[in-house]
Amino acid sequence: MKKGFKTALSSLLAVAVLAGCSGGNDGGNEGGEETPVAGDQILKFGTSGFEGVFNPILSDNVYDSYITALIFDGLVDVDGTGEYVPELATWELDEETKTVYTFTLRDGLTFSDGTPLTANDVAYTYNTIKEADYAGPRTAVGAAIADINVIDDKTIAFTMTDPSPANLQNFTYGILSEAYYAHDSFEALSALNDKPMGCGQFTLKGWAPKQYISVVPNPDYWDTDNIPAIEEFQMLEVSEDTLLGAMQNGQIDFCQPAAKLENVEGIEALPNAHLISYLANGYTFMCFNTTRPTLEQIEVRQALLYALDRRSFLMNEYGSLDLVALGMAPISKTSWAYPGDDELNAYEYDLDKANQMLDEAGWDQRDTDGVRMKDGVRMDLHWLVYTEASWPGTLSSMAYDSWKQIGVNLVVDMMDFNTVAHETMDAKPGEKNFDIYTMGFSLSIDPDPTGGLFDADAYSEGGFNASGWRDEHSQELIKAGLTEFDQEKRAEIYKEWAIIQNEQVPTAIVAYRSEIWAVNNRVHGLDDIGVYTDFTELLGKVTLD
Amino acid sequence: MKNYTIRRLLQIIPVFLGILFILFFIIDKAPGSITSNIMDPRMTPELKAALQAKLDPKLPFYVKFWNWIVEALHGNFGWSAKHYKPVIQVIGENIGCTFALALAALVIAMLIGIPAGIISATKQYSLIDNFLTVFSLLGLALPTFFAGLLLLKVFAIDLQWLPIFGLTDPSKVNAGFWVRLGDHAYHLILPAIVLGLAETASFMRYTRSSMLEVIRSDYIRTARAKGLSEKVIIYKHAFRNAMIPIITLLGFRIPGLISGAVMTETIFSLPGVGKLSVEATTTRNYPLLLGINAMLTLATLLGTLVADLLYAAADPRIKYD
Amino acid sequence: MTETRDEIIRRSTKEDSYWRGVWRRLRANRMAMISLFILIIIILSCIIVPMASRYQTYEVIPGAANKAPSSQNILGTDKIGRDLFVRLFYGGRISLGVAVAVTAMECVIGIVLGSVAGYFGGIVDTVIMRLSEIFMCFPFLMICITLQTVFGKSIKTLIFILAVLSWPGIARIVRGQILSLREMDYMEACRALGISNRRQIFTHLFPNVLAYVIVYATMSMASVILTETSLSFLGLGVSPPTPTWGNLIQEARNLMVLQNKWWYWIPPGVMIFLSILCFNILGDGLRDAIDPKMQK
Repeated sequence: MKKGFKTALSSLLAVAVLAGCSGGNDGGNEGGEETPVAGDQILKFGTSGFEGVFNPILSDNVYDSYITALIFDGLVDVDGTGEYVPELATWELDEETKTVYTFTLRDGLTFSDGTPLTANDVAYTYNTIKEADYAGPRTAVGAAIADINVIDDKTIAFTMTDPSPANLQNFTYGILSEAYYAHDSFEALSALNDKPMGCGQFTLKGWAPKQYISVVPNPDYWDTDNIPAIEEFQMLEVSEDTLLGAMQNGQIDFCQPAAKLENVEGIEALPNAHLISYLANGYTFMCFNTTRPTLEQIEVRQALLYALDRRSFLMNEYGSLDLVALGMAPISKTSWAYPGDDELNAYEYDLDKANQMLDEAGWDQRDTDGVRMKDGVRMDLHWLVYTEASWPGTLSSMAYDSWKQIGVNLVVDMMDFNTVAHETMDAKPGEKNFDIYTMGFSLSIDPDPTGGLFDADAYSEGGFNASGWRDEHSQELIKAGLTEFDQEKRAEIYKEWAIIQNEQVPTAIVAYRSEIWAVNNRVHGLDDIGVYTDFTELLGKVTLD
Repeated sequence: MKNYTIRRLLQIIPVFLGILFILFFIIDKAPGSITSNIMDPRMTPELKAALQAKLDPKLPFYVKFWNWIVEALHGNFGWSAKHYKPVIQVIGENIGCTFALALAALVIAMLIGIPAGIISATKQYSLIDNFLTVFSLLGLALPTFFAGLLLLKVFAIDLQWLPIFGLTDPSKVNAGFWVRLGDHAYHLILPAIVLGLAETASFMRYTRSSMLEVIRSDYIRTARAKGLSEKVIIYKHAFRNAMIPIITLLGFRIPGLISGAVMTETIFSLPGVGKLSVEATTTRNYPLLLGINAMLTLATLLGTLVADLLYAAADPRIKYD
Repeated sequence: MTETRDEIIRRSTKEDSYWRGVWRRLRANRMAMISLFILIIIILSCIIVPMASRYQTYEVIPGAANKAPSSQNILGTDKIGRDLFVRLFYGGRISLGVAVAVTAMECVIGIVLGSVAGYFGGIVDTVIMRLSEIFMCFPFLMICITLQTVFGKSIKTLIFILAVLSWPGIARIVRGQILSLREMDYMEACRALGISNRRQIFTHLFPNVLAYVIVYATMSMASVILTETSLSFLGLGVSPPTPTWGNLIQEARNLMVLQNKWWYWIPPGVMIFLSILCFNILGDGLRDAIDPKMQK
């Protein structure tokens, strides 16, 4: 009878050994370089989550948007420094009203079916967004544009609803062909989503939902310097869990795994690939519900930050401080408007200081569990953590321990992202049912915070500010930033604004994250991937060994 | 028997509608909406509300329920806003893979589980019984994602015998039917084994326990007394009766297979309805979620009906009127 | 139909000797006894280790994040520096506790409804069986998300959801058994003797289906432990920082961790595996011991 038990143990050991052993030998000679896929000029990108919506005014998924960026071109583009540059057209802004942009199209533009691209196609694209039954993600673009006026075949004027230095972001979307995309209903327009036809570098060769997308170079591309040398580009559905395994075997050439310690170590251990990393245009934040008696005092919010060892968190979660920067102010560190670390408080980990601040703020009584009290209110905080990413779980678990040491009782509520958004942003003021929540945002290129996390006017049902904090001076600065078109003067305004936010911390910036990419060594020309440079911008110059 | 079948078929209708009704009720209570995931500060509350009204207007859940039934009777199962496609088309793109995967897993589970169960029952307490018990439990006791990653590591990454991801090799999409079929089968080997392993344990355990029960019953003893050979006794007399509880098991494995498929599809990067239903849930894509669930519900109901009918056919002691 | 005092005494002594017989037979089954022994050790360590350990379950040890096993931390530390040894056993408390609670709840619901359906048949049977189908067809994820939001996310809610969604399995098995037992001779005899419905169900039918229930319950213990793991995979399990075996093994959901950090997944993996194995073997042993027909 004992044999049965031994069998159990030995089978278990076999599994353990199987996995343990295989861990040891992966540094060996099984890399992709030794086993190249035969005669392959196909660049393969592994990712998961594309939906197959290849229409620039409908896709709302970053992977679909990569494909639309390859198949379509927009009027303007963003260069590697985050400045708007002409793509299909040059523009002039009417200096008096600051609301009228006049675009002039390049000569000789054609769609991939050979028909010419004219101002009418541009007007058609933006008019489609403004149609009543348009149910896509660009309605904000439609709302920003008041009027469209085709002057001639090559010239078109847009009148904006409001003047704003951020208005150019409305003109980066790819242009549709009026003849090809003519439709009588939204359904009819949508039916063309997987048969895209644009004026870009590539054309669609084939795709299968949730499996792969394949595009081939467009030989008649207008930018003759950027006609790709590769034969084909494929986007393959590969689960996040197995991306690096596929990299190791050379089944994919590059990928963007989550910026985490395991993945960095994993990429560095790959013999056939290298790591690219850069600070992304975005931040992760923790929002305090300042309408709660526990969190309405600035001192309490600051104390909670002092009692959170964010540096250790960054090390634990991302593995290296090269991959991430300590969050300071609600402006991206990659932006021209970032004020500089010297001006801001980093809230370095200091439990004594936190304890002292809470005592001074009146939270000096303790109940039998050692939790702080003030006027009969106990310092109980509910933190909404979403489960789609790992960092909110890590941060809240660390806070659970360190806040306990300053007499703060944290309850972590896990839910899915949609529920967190529902409880915080979607809920009516007064019904926002949270004390703290965390999320990460990618930002647009312009630093304007209007309508976002820090705009008190966005504290509403469905608005993006859930903190409930309001400061008139901060609001004035936000408005001033939008009426000033001079970048240096705007930077001054945003600096002053950032210092207020950094001190008051209605919403604290946790970190500025990096993005990481693994690229096979056989790929040349992708190393310039950066914060404002998508890989889609680089494919024209990519070569493969 | 015929009357019973007809009656049961008719009963499916209220059950089906009941499930859908409760589903509409639950969805009505569920937090979040299809526009909650929009994180664009330029989408003002007004623009968001307007989009929400187009995608999923606020109506009482019983009205939505009624509208859905009426539309479904016309063959329209709704519009998946995220895919900009009719729901039926989105499901169609994903159902084949899940179906093939579940079927392959079921076959693997039965092919291993039932014989293993019989052997371990006839050789109760022997070494082989203990070995089979532990082996079948290995499949059960390893979480799917874990078994999946381990097998991937060994067979796809280190040995490179099998693909790491996907259902199709893009270079073979224009090949002939049999080449494509073979390509799909090649891609499904590992996922089917992983999903099948988890199911094997159930089949083996139930077969074993059911066989033990039957082997010790009076009529088998009689058969032995009559001097029939052990083979005839086990495979002719005992087996048939022992299969009865297994048939019930088959009937209600359908939902289990689909939920098991979620993880398998995720790890092996397959297009399937398991993964699709998780996406529909996390994005609150309710028309799609309803479509998937209506379909799965119907499959499960028919599955249990068939199981019950087989049960009746297999056990002469059960009488239906 | 009231029992006399004598009858009660006679019945209880008979039950005593019955369970004594079960225990005697179980003791003779060495595999089952080893499993029982291992389970007791696991359960005892889950109780004792978190109390005796020098680290707390939620304590972050400064500067000790991501450490391999050492004399300080027998099973290493997790990525924020908590001792994995104490978390492993504290996690066992939660995982096993949830499994016991869910199994008990679903068995009670399932046995009652299943035996009522099987015994009475007719319209009662139809209603209960259709009800069980409704519960079987529910979209598990949607229910989890919704109920966890409506009732508040807690371990209690999780137990409730799992039990409510899993009773149809056992109900159908009990019903199936009763359906076939109902037709057997001794039930005819009971009916002829005019024994009440309730007594027929609980004194005659119930012991006969108990063997199946025990097998099912042990499988269910195992499957709840696994379901909890899957729910952690989807982020719907027990909220961190509370450890469970599912939450712990979840940390290894990455090929790189799987390769390089065995202490993340082998300990919870072994615990999950051992407890599932032992529950099943013990269940088999119990089944053999309870069913008088199984006597050698």
